[in-house]
Amino acid sequence: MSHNDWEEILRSAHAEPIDPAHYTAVRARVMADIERSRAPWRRLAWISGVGTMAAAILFAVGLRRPEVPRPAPVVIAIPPAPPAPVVRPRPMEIAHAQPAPRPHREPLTIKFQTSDPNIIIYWIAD
Amino acid sequence: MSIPADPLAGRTALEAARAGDLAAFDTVMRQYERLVLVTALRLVGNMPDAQDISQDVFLKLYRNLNKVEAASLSSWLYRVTVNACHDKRRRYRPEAPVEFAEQLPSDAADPQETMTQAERRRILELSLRVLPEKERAALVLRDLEGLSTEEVAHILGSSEVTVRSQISKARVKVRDFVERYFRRRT
Repeated sequence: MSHNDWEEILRSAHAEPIDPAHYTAVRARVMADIERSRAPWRRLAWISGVGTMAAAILFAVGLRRPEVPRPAPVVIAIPPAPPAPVVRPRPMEIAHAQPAPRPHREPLTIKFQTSDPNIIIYWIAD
Repeated sequence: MSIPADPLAGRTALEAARAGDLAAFDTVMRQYERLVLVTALRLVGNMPDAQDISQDVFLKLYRNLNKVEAASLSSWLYRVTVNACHDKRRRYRPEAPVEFAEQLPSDAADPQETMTQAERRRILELSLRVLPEKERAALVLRDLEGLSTEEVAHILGSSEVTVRSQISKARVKVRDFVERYFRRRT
């Protein structure tokens, strides 16, 4: 067998087409993996987008809220008071406050008896 | 170098993908899916692992869209694919040892003529399996993908001398394997 013979066998086997299903399976797996890796970012983007929209709407609503008109100032016409009658002031009586007399109390005496009959304790509370 | 058809369209799609266009990224994948999947298949030897690796490579491309230049996209994809295959082989199960021709069923008088596509595939798979990791990568890129030695050296991060040596050794081993296979059958 010459060099070309065995080399030709190997090359022809190598060049043999592969079932397209094998390629399709690889592509599908790669794309699925990429989609999975992209999903968290998409979710984050979606959530942040919704949050931003909500904030913008609230801000817009806050800006557009109609102002409550201030009540018009109420003007009350007060008629001029009639001239006060002249009253002669009476001389004021000054009352001198007297401190209330304190009732006289006897001092409180407490007698303690001990186990020793010869010893008695008196406690006088004022 | 087996650059996918219409590189200009690929460049446009790449630019659109950089701007966040997922449909454009899908177009980029379609243009380079053969390069990535078939290279991975030759290096790891089975379709489920090759598909896992292709998925990782394209996700890595997606994350690095702004860093990869359109002109060097093929090289970048080859390099990332080869590295991903090396990582996969180191982390997971070692391949079953090759029992050479015993694994290849055929009773035909002239196997080369009657060889089916399935048999060719099997020969390719088993002959690559006899090679060490680096020799396999060099042979796949140089002889099967048709890259130049310089490109292979750039992708593998080796010198051209090293790559030439690896390819030479790999060719001897593969030829030996295929010849033994046919000797047993005749």
